[in-house]
Amino acid sequence: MKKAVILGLAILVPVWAGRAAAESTGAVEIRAVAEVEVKVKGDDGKEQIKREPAKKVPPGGAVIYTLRAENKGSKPADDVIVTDPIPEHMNYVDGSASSAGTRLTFSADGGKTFAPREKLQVRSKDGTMRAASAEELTHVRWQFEKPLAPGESRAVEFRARVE
Amino acid sequence: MFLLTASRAWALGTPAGTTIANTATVNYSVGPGTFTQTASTQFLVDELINVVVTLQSVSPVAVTSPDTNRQLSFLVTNTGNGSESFSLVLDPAQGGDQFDPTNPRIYLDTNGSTVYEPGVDPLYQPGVNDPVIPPDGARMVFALCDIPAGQTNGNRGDALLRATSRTGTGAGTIVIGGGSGGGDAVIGAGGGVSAALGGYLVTDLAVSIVKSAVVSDLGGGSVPAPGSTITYTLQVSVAGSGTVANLVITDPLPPFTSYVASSLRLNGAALTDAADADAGDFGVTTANQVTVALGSVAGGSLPQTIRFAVTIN
Repeated sequence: MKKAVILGLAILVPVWAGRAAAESTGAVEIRAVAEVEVKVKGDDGKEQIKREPAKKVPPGGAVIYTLRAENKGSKPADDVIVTDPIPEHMNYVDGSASSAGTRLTFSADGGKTFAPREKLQVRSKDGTMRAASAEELTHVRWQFEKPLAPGESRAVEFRARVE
Repeated sequence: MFLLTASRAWALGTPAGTTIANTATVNYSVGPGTFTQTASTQFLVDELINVVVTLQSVSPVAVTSPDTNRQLSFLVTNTGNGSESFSLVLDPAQGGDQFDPTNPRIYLDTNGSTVYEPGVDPLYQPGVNDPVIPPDGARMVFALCDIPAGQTNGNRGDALLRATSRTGTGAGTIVIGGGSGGGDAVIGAGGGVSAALGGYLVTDLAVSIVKSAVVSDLGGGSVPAPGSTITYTLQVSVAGSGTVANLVITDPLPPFTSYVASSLRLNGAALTDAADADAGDFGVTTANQVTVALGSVAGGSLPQTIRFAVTIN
């Protein structure tokens, strides 16, 4: 389902592979959390929606992925990019990805190319290009617009639904 | 009259027990150095329990009163995402009909056939051989009932076949640890239960066909020899009350004979040999066979006469 051929338009992602090989150690840490929303009754008897860690989820259930990058070093981190694949058996929930302070792009070709959601296209069987559907997305990517200062942390999130 | 495609409901995609893992990556640079960090999450896919029962045989089944071992067939489809065991009930006590079929039994198909095979398909015994159906799989079951005596024409008796998940019922119910594959089981929107109704209709409608043959040989006599012509007459009558729907009469030619072109008649009127607007054809619907579609025929209506000729080779 996520193997559609893609031609992303207006791809502006820096080419990391062209730089020096990435090192495994650094000052920025990333934490990933998968959660589900559950309804619970509060002390006032009203129903509230609470997030709980996703341990077991039925088909059709939505999972919220929250990715927090924190700079534990003493120097600002530049060109911060968070990338998360949409897992197999899951479909991106359109409109769910946070975008504040970031440049938000998506891939529909396994992470080879990225484009803004509205510009992301895939090749149809008849050879023509068409807009990618939410089910065809393979990756979400956030490029932070500002450097991450020492001690600072920022989170991004998106939702995907179990097929 | 099988409705497999029309009634098929598809299961949800991800198999119960699947582990869905995800690894996020952060790339960044500090001065001239570039760095990568990753973080992972994972969770298990629960079982979602859904089932659909559909009637597979023509209903109502025409029966007499009394009658025995009359069959309805049903398909139990597991539309959930995990292997599931279902208990079955055949309930002949239904409202809105005129009688209750008796002696309800359920037999489980074992070989993909569409009719009950005595001695091959085992009797269903609750709690003993409850069918276990894989996700997206289906099991044909045969419901057999007897028809009580004393029922008049037109009386109908219905029977309901119900399949219930053995893990749990009630839409939204969560059975902790009850899912196949190690997760929980969540009862789907259908409540883990599905049922379909079939019926039996008492009727004394009977179709009878009387066939006669007249031979005329080349010499003007009636000797059946090569070159002789045989004219066949089929008199079709329907006795009883009610109407037979979609009555089609077929008659294959005897061996060593050839159809006489354009010899087909229905009640004296000529029918073309082609499959077209008129009621009959030769060799088109089925090769080497006369086919005449009489449509709906009321019981007690005037007999209809089909006539055609062959020559002896």
